[in-house]
Amino acid sequence: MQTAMNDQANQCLAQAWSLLDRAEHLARQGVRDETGPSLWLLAANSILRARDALEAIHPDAAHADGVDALPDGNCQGLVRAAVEQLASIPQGHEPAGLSLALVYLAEAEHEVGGRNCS
Amino acid sequence: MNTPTVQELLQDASREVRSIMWDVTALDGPGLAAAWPAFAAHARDALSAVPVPDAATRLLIHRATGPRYSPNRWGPPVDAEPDPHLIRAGQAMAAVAQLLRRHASPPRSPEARHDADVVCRDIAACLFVGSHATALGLREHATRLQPARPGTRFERPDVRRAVRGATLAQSRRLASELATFEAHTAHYLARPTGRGPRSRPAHFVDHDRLPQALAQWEITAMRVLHAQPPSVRDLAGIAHTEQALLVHAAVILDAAARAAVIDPRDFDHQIRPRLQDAQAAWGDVAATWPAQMTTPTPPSLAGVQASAQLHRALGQITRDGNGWAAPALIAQRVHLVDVGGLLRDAVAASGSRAERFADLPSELTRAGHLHAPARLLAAMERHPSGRGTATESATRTTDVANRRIVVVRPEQTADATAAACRLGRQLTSLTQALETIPIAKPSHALVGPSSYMHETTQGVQHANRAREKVQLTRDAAVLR
Repeated sequence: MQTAMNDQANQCLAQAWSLLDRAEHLARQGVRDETGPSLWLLAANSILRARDALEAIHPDAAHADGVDALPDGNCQGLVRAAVEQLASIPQGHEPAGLSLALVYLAEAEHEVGGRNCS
Repeated sequence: MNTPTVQELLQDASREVRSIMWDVTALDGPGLAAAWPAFAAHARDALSAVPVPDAATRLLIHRATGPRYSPNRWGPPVDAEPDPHLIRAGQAMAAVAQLLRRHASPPRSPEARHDADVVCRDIAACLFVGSHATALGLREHATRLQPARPGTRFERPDVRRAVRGATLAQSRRLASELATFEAHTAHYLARPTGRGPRSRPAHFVDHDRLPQALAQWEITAMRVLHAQPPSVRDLAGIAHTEQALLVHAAVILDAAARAAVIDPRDFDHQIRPRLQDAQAAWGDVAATWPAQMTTPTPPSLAGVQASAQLHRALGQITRDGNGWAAPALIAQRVHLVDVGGLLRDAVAASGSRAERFADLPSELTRAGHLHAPARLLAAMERHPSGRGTATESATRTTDVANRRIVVVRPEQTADATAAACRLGRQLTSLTQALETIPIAKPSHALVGPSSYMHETTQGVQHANRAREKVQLTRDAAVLR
């Protein structure tokens, strides 16, 4: 039971990392293609911080196998999906320091809010 | 007799929980743990009494109930004198719950919804501080307790007294549960408020924040860059942060030019193009450290935090909501002469970081620290930068076919070194130009609408045209 919960938590963290990695890539594309590229640069940086904070508190998140296929969507949707992944970590199985990653994730959510990239 | 308002009661509660942290050397873990369940229950009642709570608030109410099954949702009672601050905070929360139940009605206007949101946030903030202090106290208490050794420790009354109602396992478990709860509360507090621009408060700029953030950034960045070995994530993060620093610098100096703090013609002809080139060059350097490339080191949380602090400190000057602030607003917020001088020093200091970036590729590859998927390296060879640094095909076909992670060889990082050297030259040119520009007193009459968006757009797009040539990162990401 305990192992299954841990596996689920690890899976959520790995999936969130992948979603943020993809979202950061899309935001950097936004720098190239969209209007207001300097703001996209800041949005990409905020996603990068959330992703790196996640990896810093749980290094395996970046190297996990068996991550589900990433959903299609813009980077706003991907960041939201990452938030949902972290919210679905079973209670009591969150890695220490997750609160910090959540703060960066909230900043990223705010930064990409109202911008469209895909 | 005047009855305190909800706001006054919440202020009392906030003061009480914050006062626990006034002396962190004297935290009473067992006392806090004894008082926590009642405090959490009163705070949960207060949150539940706010009419029509949203989904996030309902989730927080659920979490505040406690992680375990009844009757003791926060674990077995701790036999210690409950902390008086947490008791008083709980009493204030109980009074808030009572007032809300008696008088509050479902909000019908945006202002009323905003007021309800403020109350929820204030309660959550008290829960956050209370849980943090209690977890901190319990962790400290746990470290003081030695594992029980029957026949030795248990026979010594002084050691038993040190337990003060909370065993080692009990303290550790409750501290861990409270840390989890704290994370949820932080997430709740970090969510957007949904407030309209009409109710936005006056923008406050802390003038000490930027110098502090810049100093912290310089120390942390150099420490991370000189780690043995540094994380590739950190290298990309530092380069992107330096790039953002120059974007913000361009916005602030643009405002300085419009306020005649610096000569607008000098800015347009000498500074702006060099800022754009240097910013583009940092982007190129960042692109040479793709996420698939690794060293054995995970990213440093200190680096991420310093980057976030710097972004926030610059953002409080240059941002207005989700966009850029107008030059006139920036001129109102800060003393442009001081900030201009600070940024000039920061650009000069970033030259040393660029030098380090030029040394790192060969240093890391010669030590065998750098690994990458063979497919990424093959993709890099297929997309050389076009600046005469392309390598002979050094990646084995079998490694590519078998998706192997291989050690990166020195010749495969020639592009990274070249990009860092170009950056060094751009920064030298920018630093020299900044040193020749005299900084005068501001004249607010000249502040007008910004052409910055257009100009910065050109700079960043130039960066990306250059980056397309390097193209290290994402073609291969798809292959991973």
